[in-house]
Amino acid sequence: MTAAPQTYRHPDLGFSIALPPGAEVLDGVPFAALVAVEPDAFEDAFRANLVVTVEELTGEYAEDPERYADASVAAQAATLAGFRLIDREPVALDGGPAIRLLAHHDVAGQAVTFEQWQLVAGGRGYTLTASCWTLDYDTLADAFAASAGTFVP
Amino acid sequence: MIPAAPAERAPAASLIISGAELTALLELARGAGGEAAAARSLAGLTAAGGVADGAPAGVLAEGIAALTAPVCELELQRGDRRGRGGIGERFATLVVPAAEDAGYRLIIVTTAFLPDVLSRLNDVSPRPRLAPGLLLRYAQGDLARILAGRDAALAAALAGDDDAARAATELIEGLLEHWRVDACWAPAAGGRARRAVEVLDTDHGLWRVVPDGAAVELRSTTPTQVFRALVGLLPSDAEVASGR
Repeated sequence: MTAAPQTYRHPDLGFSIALPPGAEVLDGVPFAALVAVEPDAFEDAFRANLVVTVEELTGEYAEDPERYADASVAAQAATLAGFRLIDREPVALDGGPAIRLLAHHDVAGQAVTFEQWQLVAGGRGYTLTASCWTLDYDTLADAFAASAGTFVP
Repeated sequence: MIPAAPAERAPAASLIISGAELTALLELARGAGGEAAAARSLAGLTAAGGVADGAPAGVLAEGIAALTAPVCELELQRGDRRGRGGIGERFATLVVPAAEDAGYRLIIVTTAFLPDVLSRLNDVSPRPRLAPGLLLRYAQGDLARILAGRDAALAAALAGDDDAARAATELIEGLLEHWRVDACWAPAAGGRARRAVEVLDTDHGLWRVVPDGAAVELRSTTPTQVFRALVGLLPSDAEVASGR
């Protein structure tokens, strides 16, 4: 774990994003390009976190964030316990088209709400997922959106 | 029908019960007497393990306690259907009309799952987007008349300019459901405190209903904002006389 700079830049993939104040970056998490968590959570409490995943895309997904999001939602519905999609809307991220999702699921008995931004750029699919314990969501939602708004692929 | 004792914070139970069973459970939990009659009413729940030694057991005991000794009480309205609920120290319980037939659905969850359950019950899910910042303003009695009669002409006439009249017409002609959740609790300072989330769900998008003195405002909103409001509906530990 390393202390996060205010703006994180991935050393290889090149994307950047401003993290919430005090966020800690977890190193070496499989399948994630970035995992940043809130500090000082209570023991056993769900730690609010921001995760960025990146994948190389081909074919129809490489140009169309809607199709990319469709596939992502289907996969999450199939794999996340108690998954329920609450909202979905097209948004702009770094001036390009993206999809924002709001969803709820059950993480080992804990109620977790997450916002997700999905975009396609340069043949890559980027997914930003900001998760928190549901009762903290109203408090954290603006910080999540503020971080997502700084993302540059 | 009733799962084994759940893991800490896990969703707990959802079951259909009759009015007699609900009354008997509440009487047993309150120690109101009539144990023999209650036992007869609860034979099915007893056989399923939800009642033991003449009292609600396991998660059902926690759920009934949330109704009989709530930190926060809930009132639910969806169209002409009514429900209620209570939030206890760890669990929240909702009692809503059962879809199947007469009787009730008793939903017991750990409190953190309550916004999810409320959003499921009211189908808070992706919707078309209304233009942000749309605002309609009515006297409270006028809005009640408009909604009761689904009177698009009256809604438009009282809305104001052409844009507002158009929005009002679309709202009433596309009205799918009108729902509301009230939370009421005893604040540490005494008295009663209340918050509410009231929504008009239309096929053009969602409207939040917000009282403003003798008037009421209808503000265009989104599923995200409604879900945030459902999370914010619950009182914090600092707001209640005893912790959530």
